[in-house]
Amino acid sequence: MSVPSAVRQLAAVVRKDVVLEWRGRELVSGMVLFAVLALLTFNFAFDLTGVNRAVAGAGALWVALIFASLLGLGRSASVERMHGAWEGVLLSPIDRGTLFLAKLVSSLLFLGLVDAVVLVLFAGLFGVPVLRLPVIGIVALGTIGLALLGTLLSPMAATTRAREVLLPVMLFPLAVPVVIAAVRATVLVLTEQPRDAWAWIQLLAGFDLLFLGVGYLIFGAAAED
Amino acid sequence: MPEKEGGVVMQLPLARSRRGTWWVTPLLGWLGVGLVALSLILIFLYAPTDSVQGQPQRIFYLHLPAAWLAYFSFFLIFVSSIAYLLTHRTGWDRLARASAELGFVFTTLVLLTGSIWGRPIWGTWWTWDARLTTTLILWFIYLAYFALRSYVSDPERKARYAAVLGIIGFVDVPIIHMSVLWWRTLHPQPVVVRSGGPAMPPAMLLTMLVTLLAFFVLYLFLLVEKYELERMKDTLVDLRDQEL
Amino acid sequence: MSHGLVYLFAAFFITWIILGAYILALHRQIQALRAEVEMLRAQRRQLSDAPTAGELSKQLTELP
Repeated sequence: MSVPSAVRQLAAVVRKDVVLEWRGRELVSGMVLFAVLALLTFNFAFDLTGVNRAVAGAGALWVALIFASLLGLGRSASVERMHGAWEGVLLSPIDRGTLFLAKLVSSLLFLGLVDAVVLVLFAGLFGVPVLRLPVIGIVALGTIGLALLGTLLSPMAATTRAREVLLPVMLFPLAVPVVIAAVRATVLVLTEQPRDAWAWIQLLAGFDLLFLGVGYLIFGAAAED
Repeated sequence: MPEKEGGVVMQLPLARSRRGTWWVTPLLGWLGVGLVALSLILIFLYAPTDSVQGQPQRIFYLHLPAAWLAYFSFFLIFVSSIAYLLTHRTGWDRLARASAELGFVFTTLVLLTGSIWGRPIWGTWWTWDARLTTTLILWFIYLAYFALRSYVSDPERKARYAAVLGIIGFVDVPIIHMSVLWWRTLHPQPVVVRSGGPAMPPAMLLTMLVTLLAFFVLYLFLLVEKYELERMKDTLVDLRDQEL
Repeated sequence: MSHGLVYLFAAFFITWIILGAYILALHRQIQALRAEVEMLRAQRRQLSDAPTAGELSKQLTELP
């Protein structure tokens, strides 16, 4: 399997996912709406405009992102399994590791959109300076971490009848390092302590690299019907 | 696997299952009982009383072995998961099932003993101590493992999915521990805390080693029993399928 | 430190109760399964004694 053909296959799968989503546009709009509503709720639950808004804000931001990601990752896996579309994908000669990367890229495209909207809204509504490179970098790394786990776990959950419950049950404990690291790093950056944030960023990057490798190797076992 | 002759009478494998090794389980069982009795004597009559913590410190002799076995079980799940994905032999999945159940029991024990130990020492039933928190997350990962197994009906898929989760879970645990540890100590460098404080006096160390051994033998006994149970269940399912 | 003893005994008590209950539960499951296996064996023996259905299926499976 040469690299150029693998990239072509990857692009084909990603294009399919993007086209599908573009036609329906349910997934991304659903996620965005959900995240925005979550932020709104947090605004009433916590004081997101006070002096400590960096700390509370970072937590609220990440909870909103996590739940939106959960929604997106779960739905995209189960929608694909309707009408036997997934069997078609599995029958194609695409290597399972490449398929993993493809699904990852698709998820990241959608999650990236959601991240962008949420960050802009967050900056606008709460005046927290999140539209800076360090924060965007942390959001990117954290989202990759969540997407990595979700891409591995949601195909398995999607085959069961309790998929809405099963995915969070599996994802949350495993995503703890991402949550802790992302929130702590965001807080530290927002409170002007970037040096301390660096260790957490390294943890996030390490997590992402590790599960990129693990996912590439075992996605086949999770995705086969 | 049950042999199939050309006719209806099939050999049930349990008749010949443990001909050569029938003595393993009773040996482990009695050895375990003996070692547990010995450890109890050592814990209550031999080990010195901790000067700082007093009597409740002896709970540590339960807490530490339980923790080791909880994590060891997950390691077994990890190894069996990889082996299953490579070989697709049910035996590895059985080992995973057995270790999972045992591991969950011992993880629960870690949390309970930790909590009871914490109450007189720290004054609360729960602290977000790094190791205890990581063990709590491990407990939830075990739960997720059981949930996944129970919601998937096809046996091959069940074993395969469980293997995936087992591998992801085990790889994740060290990172979980690191993140929780840093979160608690608020320093970027992990602070290594020796369990039990500064070096244990030899009497305590001996007691701990004996108790550790006792628990380990007990664990092996339970593991073998549980594995056999799972094997019987699998055989019965096979037989019933063949009957249909 | 007498109040500490309560916790000590509670911890040991709970631990051994849980382990004991687990061992008992395992034991009972094993007995139940063994009984079921014995039952199946007995059924098999009956089936193999009666030549009708057993013989027929045996002949069927031995066809080339």
